[in-house]
Amino acid sequence: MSSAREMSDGELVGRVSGGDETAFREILRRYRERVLAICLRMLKNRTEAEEAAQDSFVKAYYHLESFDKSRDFSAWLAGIAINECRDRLRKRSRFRKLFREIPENDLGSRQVSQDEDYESKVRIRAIENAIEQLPEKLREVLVLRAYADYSYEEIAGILNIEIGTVMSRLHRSRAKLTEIIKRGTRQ
Amino acid sequence: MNRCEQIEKLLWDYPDLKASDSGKLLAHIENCPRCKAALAGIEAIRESRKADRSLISKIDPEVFDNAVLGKVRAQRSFPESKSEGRQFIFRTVSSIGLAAAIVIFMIMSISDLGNLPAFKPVDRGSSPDSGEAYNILEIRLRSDDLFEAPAAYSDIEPRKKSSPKAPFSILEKPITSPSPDSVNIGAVYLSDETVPMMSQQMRASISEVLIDTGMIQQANIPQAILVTVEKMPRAINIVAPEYPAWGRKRGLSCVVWVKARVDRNGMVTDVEIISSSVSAAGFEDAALDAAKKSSYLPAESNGIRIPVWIMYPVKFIYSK
Repeated sequence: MSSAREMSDGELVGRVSGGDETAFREILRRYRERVLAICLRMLKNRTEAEEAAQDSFVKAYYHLESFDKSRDFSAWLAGIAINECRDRLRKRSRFRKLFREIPENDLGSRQVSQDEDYESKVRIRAIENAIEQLPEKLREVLVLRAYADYSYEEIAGILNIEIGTVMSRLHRSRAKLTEIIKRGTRQ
Repeated sequence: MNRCEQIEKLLWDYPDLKASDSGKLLAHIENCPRCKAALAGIEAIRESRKADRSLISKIDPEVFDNAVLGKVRAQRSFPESKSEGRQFIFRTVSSIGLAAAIVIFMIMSISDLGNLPAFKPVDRGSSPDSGEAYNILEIRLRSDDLFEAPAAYSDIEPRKKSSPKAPFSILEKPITSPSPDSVNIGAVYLSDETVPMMSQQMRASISEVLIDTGMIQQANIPQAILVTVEKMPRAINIVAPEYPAWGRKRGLSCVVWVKARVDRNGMVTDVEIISSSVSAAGFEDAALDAAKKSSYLPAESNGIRIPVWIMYPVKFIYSK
């Protein structure tokens, strides 16, 4: 296991293609949290996020041949996770048209520990609702930057857009969030 | 870019700036509503991110990794499922089928309503549970062609004639223990021979589904809810029980029916004995112990994992 830990992503991918389960477990260990962070913030449902993250890894496993080793593996994986979330959100909106008011948001009722102050709880709720209100394109960029720590260059690679577009989307999403927060504090 | 825009960009890109910046910057933020709002946003995102991380830390990495590996293995052993095209056709056909079933179900419910404003339960006819409170809810499990609706529900969907006795099975083949005495798990299934058990199982599943999805607070009872299990649990590891020493010594054979709850992670969280042909010879305990150690890929409904109950017979057959 220690040798797998020392390997680069490229080496691990090569090993996984050769059927090495230990290498795949190492990939899971390295990127589990990051992929979960993306899915959780995009889907706002822990169970579905877990499921989407698992499916992203399964898809990555079965499409390793198409992975260009000159690219960053973590960005490629994040791209798969984002696509998985998009599919699920689309499916969810179709489902919503059929069945009204199915509560799918279990982060909305997030458990807050006793010592966590009420104001902080309100702030978190407000910002999460504000993020949810953002258009999908702006939300994706914001989640990748603020929740999964990807750089502008990496985000450009993940979403297949120019760095300038990343920056402008990020700027617009921040401006919208600031606007929503300002409105909230005025009330 | 004006001063406020510059400060805002700095704050977003370097969230820890606040700790080390100069008093001037702080004074500006304090007096500028725009920068103040930006800082509040950054702090709120940081808190929300922290809360997300704490939620993620509650996910057991081992369970997560095993679920991923289980899914990889499940697809590997069924190479045809890799075909995206076929999957798409299958999904489309099953979606159309499901939609048709829902429409038929709704039409039948509406036609039963008559002029009454409230929901009227579907008449169960000879169902052993007819007239009971659970009639207000309805759950139906459906899957491949192997599944057959129990007799009590034949008014909703006609039976499939092609497989009169074929049960729903999540096993490819029977599981037999390696010991010389045969312990055989025939199939994990729901069959029409077990209507009373089926009703019990349905009732359990309804409450599970409602409680686990949080719908119990929202559910507008009485109201008809159709929950469809698209994917039944798939076996990853079914453990065959040990032949109990006492039973072997006495040369006893036995059939034990086990009911198990498979949760969202595919783990067995609850087991019960439905019936046993021989009691007090250790067969029930052996079957229960083995059932607890088994694991599955969880059942799914609309792409969301849900807990369900499954049941199966464990046949202890004394061979000498």
